[in-house]
Amino acid sequence: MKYLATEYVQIDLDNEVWECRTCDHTLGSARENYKIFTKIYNRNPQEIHRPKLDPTKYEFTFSPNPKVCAIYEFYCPNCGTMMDVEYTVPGALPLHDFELDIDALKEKMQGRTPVVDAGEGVDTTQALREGAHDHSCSHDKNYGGQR
Amino acid sequence: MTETNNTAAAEKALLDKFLKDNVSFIGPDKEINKNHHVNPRSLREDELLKQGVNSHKMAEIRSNLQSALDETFGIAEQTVASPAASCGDMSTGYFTPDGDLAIASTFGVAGFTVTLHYAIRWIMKYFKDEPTVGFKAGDGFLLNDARFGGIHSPDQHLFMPVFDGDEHIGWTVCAMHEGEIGARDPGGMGPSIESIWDEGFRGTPIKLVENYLIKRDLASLVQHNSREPHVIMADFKARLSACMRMERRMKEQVAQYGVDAVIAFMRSNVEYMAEESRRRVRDLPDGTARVSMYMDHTMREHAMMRTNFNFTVKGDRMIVDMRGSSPEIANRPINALTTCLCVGVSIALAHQVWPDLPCSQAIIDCFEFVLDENTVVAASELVPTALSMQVMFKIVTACEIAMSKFYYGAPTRYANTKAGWFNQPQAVMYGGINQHHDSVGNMCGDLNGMAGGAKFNEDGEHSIAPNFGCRTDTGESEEAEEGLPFVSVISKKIWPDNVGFGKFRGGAAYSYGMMRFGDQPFGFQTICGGSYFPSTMGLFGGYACTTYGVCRVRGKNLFETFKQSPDLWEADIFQFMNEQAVEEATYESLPSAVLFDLYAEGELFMQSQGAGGGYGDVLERDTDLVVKDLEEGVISHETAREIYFVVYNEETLIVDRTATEAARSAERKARVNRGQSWDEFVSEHVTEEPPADVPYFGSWNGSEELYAGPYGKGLPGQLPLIMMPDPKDVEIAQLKAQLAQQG
Repeated sequence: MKYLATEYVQIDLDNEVWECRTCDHTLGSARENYKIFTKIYNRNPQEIHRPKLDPTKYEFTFSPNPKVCAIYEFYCPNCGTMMDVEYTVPGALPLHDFELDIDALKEKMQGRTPVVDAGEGVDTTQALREGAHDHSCSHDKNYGGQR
Repeated sequence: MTETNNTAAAEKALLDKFLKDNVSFIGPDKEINKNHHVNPRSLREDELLKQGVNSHKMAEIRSNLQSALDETFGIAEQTVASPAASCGDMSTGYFTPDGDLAIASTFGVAGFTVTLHYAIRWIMKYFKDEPTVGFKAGDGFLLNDARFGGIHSPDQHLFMPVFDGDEHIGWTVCAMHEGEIGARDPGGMGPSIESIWDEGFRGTPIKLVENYLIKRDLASLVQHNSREPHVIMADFKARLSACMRMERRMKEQVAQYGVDAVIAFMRSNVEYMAEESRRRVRDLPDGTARVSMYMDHTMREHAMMRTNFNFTVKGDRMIVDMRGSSPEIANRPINALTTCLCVGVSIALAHQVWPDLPCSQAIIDCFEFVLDENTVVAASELVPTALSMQVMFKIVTACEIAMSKFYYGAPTRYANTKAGWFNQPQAVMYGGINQHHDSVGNMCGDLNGMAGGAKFNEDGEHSIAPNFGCRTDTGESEEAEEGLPFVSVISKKIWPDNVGFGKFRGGAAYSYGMMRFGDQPFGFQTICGGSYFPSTMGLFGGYACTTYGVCRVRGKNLFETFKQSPDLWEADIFQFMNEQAVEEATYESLPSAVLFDLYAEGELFMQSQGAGGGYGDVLERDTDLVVKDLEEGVISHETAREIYFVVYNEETLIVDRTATEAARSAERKARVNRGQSWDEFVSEHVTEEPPADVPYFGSWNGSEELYAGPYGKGLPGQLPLIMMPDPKDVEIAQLKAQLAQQG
């Protein structure tokens, strides 16, 4: 079973590995930080956010200051998809931004149909319906189950 | 022996009574402020709910009270004088007698009411049975000091108890951003505030209203402490009107359904929200989503202050660990009380994650907050917090991003997965005398013009609403010009590349410029960070917004110049600043926290609202959307070519799709080639200490010790009081040193 963790990485729960969602490349153990298995690039932020004011005239140019800001870009080592971007202070360790409890996830996913597309699962009206009239949620318990 | 014990007990009781009756000052209550959870049921509530209630009747009462809240929200919004509240920076709500928010208005800013349970609990504990205070029907309490509940002192709230006969059955509340409260700077939250004593009028709960009438003596006291006494009175009346209408609507429910049903509804709605949010958390995958962001300015000087927000789902609990965040800075206004951080989480959930749920603090009943005292996320009561939203807005973004990650693979979502909404209060604050000879001091409604984050399936909205309240309005330039002595020379202009780039881009945001008109004493200030380091992050490979600053042109009356060169009316910030077409003028580009100063006629003050974060890999952006961005002036040709790797004709904007695919493919290969493995990257780029020339505050690479800029480092709780030197003194010392070197 595959669990969609982000736009670009998924977990193969049977083999407990991270995978690239673009090319299916196996990254590494799902019990570790997926970023360990990526290619990382230390980007000067001014290459992305170019100065809008003339840097010869002004210190503040509507562009990040590379002395205090670096962009870490994380790429799939196989297909080059940019899986994540992190803005941080130069010298900082990349953040372990998303860590899933694999054992708990396996248990939780038992009997569930996994989401296979980011557009699935969106139902912004369901809870409102439940809250107002549907009788399957905790709301009924509060009301003593009587109608 | 027994007699001796009895005597000792009697003496102790006498002493306890004496001490209780002779408390010289009742201040903020730490125990109340540490408890964001729902109160236990009262006996009355318990009896009613154990009897069982009719869920259809409950739904009818909820709909009716919700309508009443939205009706009263409208009444207040249309009658207030505060510029922020008139743009919807307010909220109305019904509370249970013990102080749990039962239901809040769907419009406006949920954050105002979700933090006022603290204040009601305080009133119930200290004033309910206090012979000199107490309360009855028709009474109302005013509050503005966040140490008793709320976000920061420029906000003002009115609480009115509702009675059915002699029975106290609830509270109505009308809460809003008032603004001017006589602080050191106009508008109540200026950058130069250095202590709680600079924060202006610090109102504990005061019984301002008796028998539905505003007490003139107390009103005069508050008015006298404000630069805008007329605005204060207008808004007292607006809040009172709203609360009275809410009371009337609640009594109508009592008349129709009976008091038992109304009390049962209030409590059951609180419990529904608490249980439903717990159920939703239980549905998420167990794990931790970590978000670290930086505040890059104290409002007086540059400082890189780390904020850590680690969200952990464990069963049906959500633990928010904020340890490692920057120590508090005792003489700067950017600290936040923990109560304020709870609000930030509630706001993100209410507006961005679970917008379908009724809103109350009950939605964070299953949340736990772990933090170190005396840090920017858990400030002590003795440090200024007037700009606490610098921290609070960060946790709003952090919660949005963390929840987007938890929800990505979850079976049911209640809102779109999206990147960060822009999170800086990018508004100009003003003060002085206006063209009507009134004293004024407040902020412009442009604060609400923040842009939306990119979503998983579409671009973010341009300058649409603040991150703290998606159902608000943005101030009109013409309305501001009617009451304030300036002309909007640059009025809401989109500029290229002010978006978070990605597969879907964040919304763009407008720039604006105000030129002083008239010779009254009148000036501006700003209160933002994000000039060195982007404030708002993207998601899943999307880039952040850029950085922003304040630009000003001074020393010349530009109205005279405009007469000679009318084309300048069309100029934007960057044309003014880069071309420097006005001779003899001074051009300055500054960080986004600018101290208050008076401006002469014809001087120009400019800044920009900020963009939403991007979503996904830029190389996946549809080329048609890139061209659309070009056509609309949202991005530059450089960005289209060098970030999105689109090959096209710059004159016709016709895309060469084959060449574009080849360019993107080549860039993907280049990424693989230039990227380093984890070990190589860590070895080459990661350092044991923060950069020596960066004033860094907070933990570094997971250290338990917190760095504190010039104060060194230490374990939480063991750091000295951090008092930053006056930047002017620092500059003078530097100049003296230079002079000494020159002999």
